[in-house]
Amino acid sequence: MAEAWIKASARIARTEWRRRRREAAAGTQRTRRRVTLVTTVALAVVFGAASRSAGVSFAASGSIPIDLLGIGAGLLFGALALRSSNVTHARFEGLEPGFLLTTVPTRVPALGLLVFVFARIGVFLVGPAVGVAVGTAIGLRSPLVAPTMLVAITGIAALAVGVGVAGRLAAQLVGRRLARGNFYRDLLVVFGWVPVLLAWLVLDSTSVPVASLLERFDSLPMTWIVDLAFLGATGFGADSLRALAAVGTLALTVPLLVGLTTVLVERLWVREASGSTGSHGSHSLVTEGRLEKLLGDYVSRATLTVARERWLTERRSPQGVLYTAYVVFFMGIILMPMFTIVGTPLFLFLVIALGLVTGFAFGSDPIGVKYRVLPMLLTTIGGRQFVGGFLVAALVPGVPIVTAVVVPLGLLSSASFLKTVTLALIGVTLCACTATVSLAVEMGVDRDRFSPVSGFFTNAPVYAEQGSSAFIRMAYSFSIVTMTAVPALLGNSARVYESTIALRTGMPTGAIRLGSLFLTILLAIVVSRIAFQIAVHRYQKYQLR
Amino acid sequence: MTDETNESEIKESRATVQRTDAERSDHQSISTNDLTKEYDGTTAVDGLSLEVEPGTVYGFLGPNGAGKTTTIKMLTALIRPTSGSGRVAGVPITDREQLVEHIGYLPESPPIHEELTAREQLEYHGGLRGMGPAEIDERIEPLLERLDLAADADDRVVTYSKGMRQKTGLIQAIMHEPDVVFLDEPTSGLDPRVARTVREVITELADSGTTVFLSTHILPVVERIATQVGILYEGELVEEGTPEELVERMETGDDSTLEDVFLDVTTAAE
Repeated sequence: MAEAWIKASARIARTEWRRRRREAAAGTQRTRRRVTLVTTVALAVVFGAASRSAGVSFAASGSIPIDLLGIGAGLLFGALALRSSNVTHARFEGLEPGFLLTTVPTRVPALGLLVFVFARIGVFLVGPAVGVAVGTAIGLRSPLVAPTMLVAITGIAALAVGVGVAGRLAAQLVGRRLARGNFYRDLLVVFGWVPVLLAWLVLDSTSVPVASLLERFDSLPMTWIVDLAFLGATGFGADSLRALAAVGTLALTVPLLVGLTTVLVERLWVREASGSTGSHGSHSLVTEGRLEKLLGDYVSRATLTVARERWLTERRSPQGVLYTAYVVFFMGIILMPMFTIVGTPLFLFLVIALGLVTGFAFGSDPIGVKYRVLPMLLTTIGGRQFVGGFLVAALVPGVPIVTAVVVPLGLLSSASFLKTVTLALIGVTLCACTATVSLAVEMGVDRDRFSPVSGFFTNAPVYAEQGSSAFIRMAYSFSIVTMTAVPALLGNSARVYESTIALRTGMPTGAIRLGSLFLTILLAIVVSRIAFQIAVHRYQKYQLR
Repeated sequence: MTDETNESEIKESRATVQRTDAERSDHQSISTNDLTKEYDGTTAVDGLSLEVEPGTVYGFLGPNGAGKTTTIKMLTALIRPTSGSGRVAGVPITDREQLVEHIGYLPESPPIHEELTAREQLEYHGGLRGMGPAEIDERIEPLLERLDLAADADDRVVTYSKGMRQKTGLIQAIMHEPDVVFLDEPTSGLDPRVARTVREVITELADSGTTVFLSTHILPVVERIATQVGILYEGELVEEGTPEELVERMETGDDSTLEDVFLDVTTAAE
């Protein structure tokens, strides 16, 4: 019987693997396999070389830094658990409970989910794991380290998968049980890193000896795993008793987590299957309100309805607003260092960031946010109304937000009134530019590439694309919009306007700086217009398979 | 000289034929000519030619995978035909911008937002059609009452059963009184009482001049309300006529039904 369950679980995992691969299909299967193989081998070589050096160094010193490696093992465990949680989030919603529950016992899909997540983690882990095991064994000149290290890494991965999957399902269950629980659960998931970061900064700035806190890892099971990993190397201080404790802990914990996952799946699918969020009451989408008074003479009712519905669904099922985290990441990690090198004023950086964020919040992901109603929209309204609706949805909050931030800051700083207004205009035009460019780029995506996933702050499924394509497109859109801001960036970079343009042309630096801002506004308008036309054209030609 | 005369006569004759075709197409609610759709070498719809007059309830039948949904998607401009042409309400099916003003569409899975309530969804659709709040209320309230959805109209769709979603989708498809409405399995998931109401609504739509293009597997529904029936098999229209004509033509017996005809036709086509 147990064998049949395991076989059925493996089949579910295999099927999910195939589904995921097809959803995220990019390039041919053969190409994907080759890329995976090359990446795995490359990672194995890189990690192998690094581990060999470390092994040689350990061999020279005659001891292994168990504490330090324990921290490393803890970080690896945390990263794998987080990744497992995310994979569960993306996959659990699409498991077709109606079919599975009427076909096999609940423990089978639960185990299938775990196997699937473990396989997903394993694919990325196998190259580095083999590299580290073999490299360390060569470095230490102790071949037995390779198998013990592989066992230890597999153990960490199994534990992390169990914790990640069960943790994610438990969070979902808790959220479902509590009234408004989803809100707090998602708040924790989305912004939970903020208090951790703040705590770290506080500890760091108050000179609390973090190292002394971390020393306590010595007595925690994560260091036992290190003892297990180095059990094959004799004479380096690995404690066989603690290695045995690690094996015992894994042997006890992993089956417990499998059992917990089964219970949670049973709870989520069978016993507490219905949601508990407040779901009564309608808001009018066509009432003659302020929006009509403001824009009714210039924009059609259909366009305003698209915008109003975009805000309402965003309020109930936030997607665009959450995606702005990527903008913050892009600005912080990629653009900020570049701007610092070029010497661009922080104020201009803030204006560009505001334009990107406000434009992206409501003007992006048209296929995902309209996934369900797309057949209705395509047989109801034209491209100008659809794209116009998204643009209005982005600009109506975008204009006041940009103005409210930029104008007071400009007035408080040394910027002239004209420059402040120009900067606000840059923010607004970049907002429009981000929305239209995102729409133009994303209207080229096939609806079949989207699949349901559980969303934050909602009990309705949201539709998202699997794989990296969405991120690549996002980066593409951001790059186009940032290119329109290049004149302003260069014109306001002291190195450029003082050492190059002013010297060569003799123009006053004030004129160069202001002129470059106007040039960016002009460029953003031109790009927005072109992108708008492309988006409309793509909508008109959009086909549902 | 004689050759030139003949040539000009032929051209004139061709132009007359083309004009007549166009005029006839303009008078039809749906007309297609040799409509074909191929996917990766597989022919889903093969040379479909249809003429459907205004006010007709056209029962579009066929086994699973016959190409019914593909045909509807081509007629609603959601996909482009590989070859052939068609007009719906006089508008070419390649011109989606114009076509949307004349059609309503209920696909198999109702296109409604789960985060909205039924009332919000219907207001959304009405607003997209340029209808004002009063007009929307006037149109949807009677339909909500009639389809037994009024009490739940302010609950979010995510809490709805399949039948309630289907009802919301149906109201959405017909609330703007389109010239042609395409319904893909409209009675799927409905209880017998509401299913009967839907049949009545469809008949009333046709009586008021709306053309209803109805794709369903529930043959008694077609038998009761369709004024014309087409049977599609492996992408080809293998039989067409009124239900009575089909029964008579197939000579399957006095007490034979459309189901018998359907089985006979699709078996013979095999």
